[in-house]
Amino acid sequence: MGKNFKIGVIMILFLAIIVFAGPLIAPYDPNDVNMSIRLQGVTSAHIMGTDQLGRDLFSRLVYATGTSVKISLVVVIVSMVIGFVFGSTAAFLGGAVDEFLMRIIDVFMAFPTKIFTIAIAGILGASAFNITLALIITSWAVYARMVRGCVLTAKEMPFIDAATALGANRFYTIIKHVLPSVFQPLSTFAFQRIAHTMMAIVGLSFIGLGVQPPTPELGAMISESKNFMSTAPHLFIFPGLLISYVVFSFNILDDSLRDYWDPRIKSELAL
Amino acid sequence: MNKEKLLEVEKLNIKFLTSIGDVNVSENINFHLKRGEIFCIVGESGCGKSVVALSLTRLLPENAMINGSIKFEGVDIANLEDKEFAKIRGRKIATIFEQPMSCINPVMRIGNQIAETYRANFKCSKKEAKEQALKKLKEVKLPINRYNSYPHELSGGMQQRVMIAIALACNPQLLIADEPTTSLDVTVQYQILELLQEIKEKYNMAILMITHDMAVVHDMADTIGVMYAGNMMEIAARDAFFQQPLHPYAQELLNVVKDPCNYTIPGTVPNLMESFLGCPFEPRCNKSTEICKTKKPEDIVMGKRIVRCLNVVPN
Amino acid sequence: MSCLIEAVNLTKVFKDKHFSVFNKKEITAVDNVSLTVNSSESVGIVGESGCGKSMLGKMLVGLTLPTKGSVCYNGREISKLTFNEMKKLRPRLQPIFQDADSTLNPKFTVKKLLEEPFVINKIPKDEANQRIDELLNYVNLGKEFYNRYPHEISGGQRQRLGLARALSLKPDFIVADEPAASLDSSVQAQILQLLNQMKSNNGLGLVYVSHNLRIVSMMTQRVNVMYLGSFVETGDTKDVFENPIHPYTKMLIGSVLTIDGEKRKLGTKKVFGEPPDPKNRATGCAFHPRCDQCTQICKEERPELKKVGEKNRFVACHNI
Repeated sequence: MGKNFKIGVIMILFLAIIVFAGPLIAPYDPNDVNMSIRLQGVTSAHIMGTDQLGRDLFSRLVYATGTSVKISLVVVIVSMVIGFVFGSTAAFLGGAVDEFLMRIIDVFMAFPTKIFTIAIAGILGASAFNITLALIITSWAVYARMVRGCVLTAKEMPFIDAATALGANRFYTIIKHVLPSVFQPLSTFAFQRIAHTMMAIVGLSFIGLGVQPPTPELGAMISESKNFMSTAPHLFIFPGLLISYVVFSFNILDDSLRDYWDPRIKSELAL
Repeated sequence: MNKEKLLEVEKLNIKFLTSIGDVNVSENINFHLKRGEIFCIVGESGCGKSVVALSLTRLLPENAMINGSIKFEGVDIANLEDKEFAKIRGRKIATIFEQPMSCINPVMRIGNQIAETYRANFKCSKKEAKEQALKKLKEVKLPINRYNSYPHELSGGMQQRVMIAIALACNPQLLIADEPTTSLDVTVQYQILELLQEIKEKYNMAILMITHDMAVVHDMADTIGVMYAGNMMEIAARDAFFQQPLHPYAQELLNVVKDPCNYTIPGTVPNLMESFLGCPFEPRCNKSTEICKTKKPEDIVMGKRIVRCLNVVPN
Repeated sequence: MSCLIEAVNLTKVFKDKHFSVFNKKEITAVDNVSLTVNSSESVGIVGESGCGKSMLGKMLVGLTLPTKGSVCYNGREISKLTFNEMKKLRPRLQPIFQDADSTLNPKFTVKKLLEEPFVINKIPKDEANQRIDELLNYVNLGKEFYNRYPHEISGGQRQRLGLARALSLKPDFIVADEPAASLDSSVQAQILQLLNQMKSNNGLGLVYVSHNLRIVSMMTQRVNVMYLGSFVETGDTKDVFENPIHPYTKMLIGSVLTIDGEKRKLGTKKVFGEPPDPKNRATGCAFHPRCDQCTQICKEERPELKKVGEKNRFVACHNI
């Protein structure tokens, strides 16, 4: 197993603890306002200091990471499922159905993500649910396209012919040969997209279209901190570092996962 | 005809240094080529025949350790500076490969590719280069109106002809052909081999051909070198070889090719990662004796033949 | 007469995808081909690349359905069988592909690949294991390969693994499509001998598809020479090779490089032109642009297979 893979797994495990066991880690309520201790630096009581309203930055960061990662997980999983259903239907049925579904996909591919999200926020109002919806609408088509491509390639592989010749029915070849050849590229792709989606959420929240205060969110926190940049730099340094950490850990895992799943590269890694 | 030795390879040792150990792909190989001679190296996959050919033009990966002397026109090219060597490669030694499409630029018209190769080696005007390229096209029997074709518009045989034309662009003295016809149809193979013989006659150059196909060897070779597990087991003139090969491996190989439905060589080709105490062919050899297990065979020169076997008695 | 496989007037037509929606061009890969194979008999199909020989092989084992014509196995037409009947029949008809590597799923281990035929056909584990042991013995592969992936074993071993899979369900008919083309002579010999053994011991019917005429001449009893989708000459292998009649057969046999006898002399040219492109079929006799005996009628009219002499010899040529 590669070194990168181990590093990636450890980083993701650490992240998972922050995301799913946040309330247990955070020492304070993230929304507990205490104006008497506002804009404090690192102290023993508040290990990452406090923000402009005297809230504990560490607790807020723990909750904020949870919000961002959870939203991106939902976006990625939901669009992956929609994309998988759409793409595999198109590829398996082929012909006119394929043609029709592909045109729908083309339409969705043409949506400009940022502008569309801004429009959704404008119409439905900015909220966590609405950006999740907007991001799903703009991203599922990419998965559909990818799944379709993978299925079409896998369907033409001679090992499918070989299995058919041995008496396998379509169901067997799809389950045993086609789908495994789709799942692996799809899941590495999804890992890559988690980081990507997370950046989008952070960006949208930063410009005020995403998660609304007082719910802690990394992008929103950086946005709030910009007025205190010179007096309290820890307010944007810590969230910034955390964003880098999350994105980096997903990317490193995605890379090594691809190597790990390919038996050809796997045996080289073992050398 | 000038029968001087064009290429002389002596005690060529090639080792690949890998993370899991050294791989010996060539052990003490000696052979030489005269002008106008076709020398065929024949052997099964993984015997190191392509590596030996690539080492002559320094196309081996970085982890290859080359030891020994390679004399080309009397100059030891194994120890030349890269800059000096570049003048020989392409201009005096040209190479053609099994897959033409991997060696010709897919987005450049074939005529231009031949002309560019010429211009890269000799300073001349574009017009002059084009004339040369047209001449080469004619030599490899491609219609002149193909000058402006792209490689994908040509069939496999024609692509192979283009690669030969590019190789010929600078009138090389030595042509290295690595499995030039393996992926072609029999009818096309027949014509390409004929073409190679014709240009050899015309330029009085030497051809070093790498192949695993005994029939191609029979058709082309003047001299044959049989390789097995990094060792040159036998070198002999074509007629003498096909009458009676001396090395047990060469004998078995010829038997298998003659009658594949009734004859096999037991065992499998050895892994070059292992180092052999004795003769590498010993485990599969039906004439092996005790001494074969412990002693490495050395070249026995018998007139024009060289055999690397402990059980062959020099006469 | 009971034929194992009887193919009548097989035709396969493709739509060329590279042409636009408005200009759909059809390519006839296999054109009106008939063929019979008996038990314990091996029949060769030879021709240059692109002549449709692989497609014909696929139709014979029922992997592709013919556009026209029929394939009968023991008198039953396989294109008319229901799905379940066909499923039962599949193991009887096996292809061996040229490119063994791509017929082995790279994500399966050798063990899983060997078990697959038994899993698909729901054969109990203990019976399967016993059969796998026999097979491994038969194709000379050791158990040490069990947990390796296909790319971790050599080309010859992969080809033998493919063979073991094809033989695992005890077929009576095999189409071997260049089964040894990319292999070394000594490995090639092992594969050929295995096929011959199967043929004589188990009464296997074999169709051997290849462009290597030397091996076809040794492996088969009857041979069909194919050019651009149709047979141009068929007959007993010995007769065809000793006395080729069709100009294309003569050319093919002339291009075979021997390993005994004299060296070829330059200038005695017997071979002309390149393999044809199925997209641009010549009118009349498809071979006429390369033929040195071409006359006016060859350019206009398509020759039919005609019986020549006493034996089962058929030739499609105007000039005989």
